[in-house]
Formats: sequence, C-alpha cells, structure tokens
Amino acid sequence: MGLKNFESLLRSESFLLAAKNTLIFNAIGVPLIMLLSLGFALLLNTGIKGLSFYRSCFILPLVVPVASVILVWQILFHEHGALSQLLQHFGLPAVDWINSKWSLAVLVLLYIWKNCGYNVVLFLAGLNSIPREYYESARIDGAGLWTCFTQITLPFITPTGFFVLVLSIINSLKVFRESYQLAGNYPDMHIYMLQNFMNNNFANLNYQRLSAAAFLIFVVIGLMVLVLFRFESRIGRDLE
Amino acid sequence: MIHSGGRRDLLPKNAHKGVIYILLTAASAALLFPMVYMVCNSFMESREVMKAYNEIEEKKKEIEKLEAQYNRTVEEKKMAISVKRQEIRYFRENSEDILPDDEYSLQFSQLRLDLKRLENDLEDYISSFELPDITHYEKKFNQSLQMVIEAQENLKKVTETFAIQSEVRLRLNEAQKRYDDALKQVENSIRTLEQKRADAKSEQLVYTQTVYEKKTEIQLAMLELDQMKKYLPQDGMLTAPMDAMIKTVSIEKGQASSPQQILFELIDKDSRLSIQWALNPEKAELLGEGDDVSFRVKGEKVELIKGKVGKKEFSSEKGMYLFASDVPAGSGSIREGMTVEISASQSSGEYELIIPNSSISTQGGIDYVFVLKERYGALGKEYYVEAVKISVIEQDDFHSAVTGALSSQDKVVSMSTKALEDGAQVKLR
Repeated sequence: MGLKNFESLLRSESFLLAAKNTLIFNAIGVPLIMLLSLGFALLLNTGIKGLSFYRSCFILPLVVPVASVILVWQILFHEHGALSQLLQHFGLPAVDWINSKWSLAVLVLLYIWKNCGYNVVLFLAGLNSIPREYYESARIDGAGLWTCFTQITLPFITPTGFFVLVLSIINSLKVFRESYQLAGNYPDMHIYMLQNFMNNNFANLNYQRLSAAAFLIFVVIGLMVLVLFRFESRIGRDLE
Repeated sequence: MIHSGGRRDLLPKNAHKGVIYILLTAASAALLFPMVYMVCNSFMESREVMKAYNEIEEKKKEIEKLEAQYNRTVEEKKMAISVKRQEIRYFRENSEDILPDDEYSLQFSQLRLDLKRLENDLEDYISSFELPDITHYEKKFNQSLQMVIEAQENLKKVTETFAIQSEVRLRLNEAQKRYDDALKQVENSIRTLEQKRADAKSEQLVYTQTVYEKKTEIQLAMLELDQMKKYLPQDGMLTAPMDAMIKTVSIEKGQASSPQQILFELIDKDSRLSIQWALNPEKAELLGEGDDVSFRVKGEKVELIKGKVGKKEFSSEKGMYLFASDVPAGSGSIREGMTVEISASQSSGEYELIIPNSSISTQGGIDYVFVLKERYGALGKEYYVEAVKISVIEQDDFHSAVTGALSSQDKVVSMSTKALEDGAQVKLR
C-alpha cells in the first residue's frame, strides 16, 4: 500500500473540505478568542470592585456541560428560533443559522462562549505575575497607557499568551463535540470539521483512512507547536 | 521614595470606570444568558407543555361545539326547506278552487311574500357560501416542491463533493433519504391537493344543484303568481279562472252587487254528476255493472241521456241493491239535486214461442199449457182443450219463452172462467 492511503486521503474532497473548514475555524476563532480574553483580562485587572463575581461569571461556562446548553443554542439559532423571529420582527427574512453559511459563525460563538473564561483566568494569572514596580517606574517616567501595554504588559504576558494560544488551538480542534451536538453527524458543509471526518470514518470502519488522517493531523499539529515553541523561545530571549 | 498606591494607581487617570463596568457586565450577562435560560427553561417547560396541552383540549372542545352547532343549523335549515316545499305543494293543489276576492288577495300576497323569502334565502345562501380555501395546500405543495429542488441540489452538491468514498455513501444516503422524504411529502401534498380539489368540485356540484333547485322553485312560484295575476279583476271585468260551465247565475244585468255576494257558480267542464238509485233484488238481477241505462228528467220530454251502470252494491240495511252511474255535468237538462227517470233495456236471445205467464199451469212440478182444439160431435163443431207439456226457458213479469210440442199456429188458452183439465170441452168468448 505504502503511501496510497495518504494519497487517497489527500485526494479526498471530504478530507480537504474538513481540513479547510478546520483551518478557517482556527484562523477566525483562535485570534478572536485571544483578543477577547486578553481584553477582558485587562479590564478585570484594573482593580475594579466585584472582581471575583465577574471572574466567576467568566468561569461558569467552562463548568457547565455543553450538552445541556446546546438546547439554548438551538432555540436561539433555529430557523424559527428567537433570532430569526427578531429578524422577522424587523421585516427581514428568517435564517436557518445552523444549516447555512452562518453555521460557522454560530460555532465560533459557541467556541468563544465556552473557552473565553478559561483564557481570561490564564491571562489574569499572567497579568498578576507582572511586577507592579515596572508600571510605577514607567508612569513616573511619563509612559502612557498604550506604552505601558506594549512595552511592559505584552512582553511579559507573551509566555502566558503562547500557552493560551496552544490551548486555544487544541480547544478549537476539539470543537467537534459542539458541532456534533449542534448539527449531528453530517452538519452543514461550512462546519464539517476534521473531527467529523474522522468520526464518520470510524463509524464506517474505514480505519486505514482514519489512521492516515490522524497521523497527518498529528504531524501538522506537531509542526505547528514546534514553530510556536521556537517563536516563544525567541521572544523569551528578547525579554531576557 | 516612591509611594506605591496599589493596582489602582496603575490605571490611567482618564479611564472611565463606568465603561469598564458596562463592558464587563455585558460580557458576563452574555456568558450567563444561556445558563440562566436553561435554568428557567427547566422550570417552565413542563408548565408550558401543560398549558399547550390544555389549549389543545380547549380548542378540541371548541371545534366539537362548533361542529355540533353547524350540524344543528344545517338540519334546521333542511327541515325549514322541506316544510316550505310541502306548504307550496299544498297551496298549489288547493289554488284551483275559486276564492273570494279578499281571501284571494291575501293568499296572493302571502305567496308573493313566500317568493320574496325564497329569493332572500337564495341570496343569503349564495353570499354566505364559500368554497374551501385550497391556497394553503397549494402553498404547502409549492414549499414541498421547493424542498425537493433544494434536496436535489444538495444531493448533486454532495455527490460532486464526496465522490465515491465510503463515508460519502452515508452522506449520499442521507441526502437521498432527504430527497425521498421531500418527494414523499410532495406526493402527499399532491394527493391532498387532488383530494381538496375533488372535494371543492363536489361541493361546487352540490352548490350548483342547490342553486338550480332554488331557481326552479322561484320559477314555479313565479308561474303560479303569473297565473293568479291573470285571474285578478282587471277594470271591473271578471274572467273565468278555468274551462267550466256556468251552473247558476245569481245576478242580472243592472242589479247592484255587494262584497262576498256570489255572482256565478261554475262547474268544471270535466266534472261529472253521480245518479244513484235502488232496486229490489229481483229487478236488480237484470241490471249489472257496465249495462246501458238512460236518464231523463222527470216530467220533461227531452232526449234521453245515456250512461252506464258504474257501481252496484247490496245494502243490507235497505235490503235493496244500490246503483250509481256518472254522467258528464251539464248533460241535457240534468242538474244537481234533480230527480230523474231511469230506464234500462236488456237484450236477450230470440225465442220462437212466447206465451203469457197466465197460460202456464203447474201441476206436480210440471209446466203445461192448454191448447185449443176442434172436433165434430153430435151437435156439430165443438172446442176442447188439450194439455201440452212445456219447458220455460226465460220468464219476465208478463211473458215466458217456452219450448215443447207447440207450434206457432197453436191457440194457447190465456184465460179461462173455470179450471181446465185435459180434454175438457170449452166455449170461446
């Protein structure tokens, strides 16, 4: 057989579609969650009152089983759901959010809702580890908010950011659970992820293709993590 | 010495804390919303289901009530129509009689009112009648068709995308299943549509028939109305309402008339007079049903009116036979209540020998007659009688037809002053 399984896999349109969708999802979801998490962490780190309450609010989605919340998502984004009814109220046509091109946006939203809190906590930990003296010195030297952020916060938070990034990528690859619960075995073509592909191959007893796909994904993720480690170590050296 | 003011000192002085709170609160609310909704839903779902179930039950009861009310109304209307038809039929049968003017006008007005009601009823029926709305089913059909088209497109797309891979087969099957379901739905929609169209057609037919019936009733009523209009007094002239004969004239030219006064009495040309009479059983034997009879007004010398015996019945009370015969009204001078003479003739066979009943003597159950004979004795020509046995064939009150050793030349004794016996000498007077 040799590389025939890989060759067949790479020629498979379903695999290519799944890979493409996964990349698009990562490209949109991961930066978005990173930015939002960092933003919320910065806001929470301003010393506001009720920090523990807000932190709990951010953590709660992480501890709630997705399966129980999927129902809410379906009610919200069904063709005759709350959102569509709201649109119809304003004279716009109803949209089947889960079974249309909008399904990717719904999945991204679900992914952010689920994982944002965890990332915020990680970023908060990273932010808390930055010595306060650095900020005080910078303020005495006349540094502004943006300067403090770019010159102090960002460099010091890069290791945490890297960790959050890796975790976000891993979580984004695990979004199959949400996708499966939201749209079933064969979801809309826009949210047909690699996990869907692998799960279906497993169900069809096509282990050869499944193994080839798993190996390929492992290689790709390994390479990606390697690149990220290199990048992180370079930044770490710069900081030192 | 640098005074450390804590984390708060790190904030920019111009930072708006309100904005930060708003942002964080909004984010927290967005994150918590699905969970809050889920918790609320867990308490509300069962209540909503019960509410929906109760609503369905109430709707069902409401529908049942409406159906019952509809059936009752339909039944009442049907009965009202039936009664109206019977009333019209009854009026039609009895309108042949001549009525006084006022009563006639009243009934005429009533008929016109009924006609108007019928027209109004028809108009109401037409205006309230609505064909079943099948646009909903057509819309559903179109939606199903659209689903088929979408399923076809999806199938095509899936087929192109997923070539012939094993997992593709499942997807293809899925798409095929969706296509088949959509197709089935289309077929169901077509069947429903056809059914609804057939129902609509059938209701249209019923509607057309009902309208036709109503129109026919109106035409009939209008015809009757027109007929009655014809006989309405016009310019003081009274016209005959039918083909009839004037039985009596109760007024003369120049005389004044008053309301309710009978001016003329008409008899239907086609009506007949019944003449009845009774006969004792003996005479009644001669007259049977279908026999010819003649009638003549007693005391008048006019031509006889011929008729036939229509009915013959024995009255045990009177001990007589009752006869009845119908003659056309207006025949001759016979009028109702008159006494008439009745004559009947009966033709019988031809007899060679007919003798008076007084000629026949019966002795020992044997009928015989005495025939006059001549002989020459000591005193010259003398007469004597000879008994001849006979058989009576037919007999009436006066004569009898007989057979026996008689000839038409024989002289039969019809009367005698003394009792006769065979060979007795007699004298002629």
